Amino acid sequence: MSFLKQALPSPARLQALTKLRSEVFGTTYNPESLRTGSKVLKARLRGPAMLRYYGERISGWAGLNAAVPNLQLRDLAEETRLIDLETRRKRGKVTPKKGQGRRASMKKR
Amino acid sequence: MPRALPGHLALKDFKARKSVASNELLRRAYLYIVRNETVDPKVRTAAMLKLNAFPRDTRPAAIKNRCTETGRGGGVFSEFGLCRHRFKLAASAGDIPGVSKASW
Repeated sequence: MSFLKQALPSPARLQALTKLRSEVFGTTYNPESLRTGSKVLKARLRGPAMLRYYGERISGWAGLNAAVPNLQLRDLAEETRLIDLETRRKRGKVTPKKGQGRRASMKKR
Repeated sequence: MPRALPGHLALKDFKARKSVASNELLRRAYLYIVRNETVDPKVRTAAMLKLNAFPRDTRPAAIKNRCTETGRGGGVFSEFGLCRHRFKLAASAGDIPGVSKASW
């Protein structure tokens, strides 16, 4: 079998051949078979499908207005609330902000 | 008529979904470094720690498929996105294509 050993090229030459082959055909040369993480990069992103799970949802007047252009619906309850708040503020009946009340000013002294 | 999300837990889940979607690309980049054996081990460990430091809501495992009609967390058929009761109602009404009551 000695003639067979002579006929076979050395491992280094075989490796050189593999390298050349990968260069010619544009494949990755990875003789130690290391994990390159390309699987992670190639995988599709899952986020968009995750966002689609519940379907399109519209909530509130603002959502309706955003979904249907030129509808211009008004949230009358919210408008009333804001007007009431303004009148109460004018009369000084609005709850003070934190640190602005009577107790907070007492502590400072 | 499209409805709002069913229940506060579904709302919480949707918030997590948005968070996962927005952080996915960055997480992938770190994961690529972690899984890449050709990179310096120190860098890989640092990337692993960065990945672990992300909030819980940015991980895909934080996502739970809840019932799209009731927001129920358990007994949900993932193929239809419905809980067992809603699935039965929809299937009985013939709203789900290819599903019929067994009879033999």
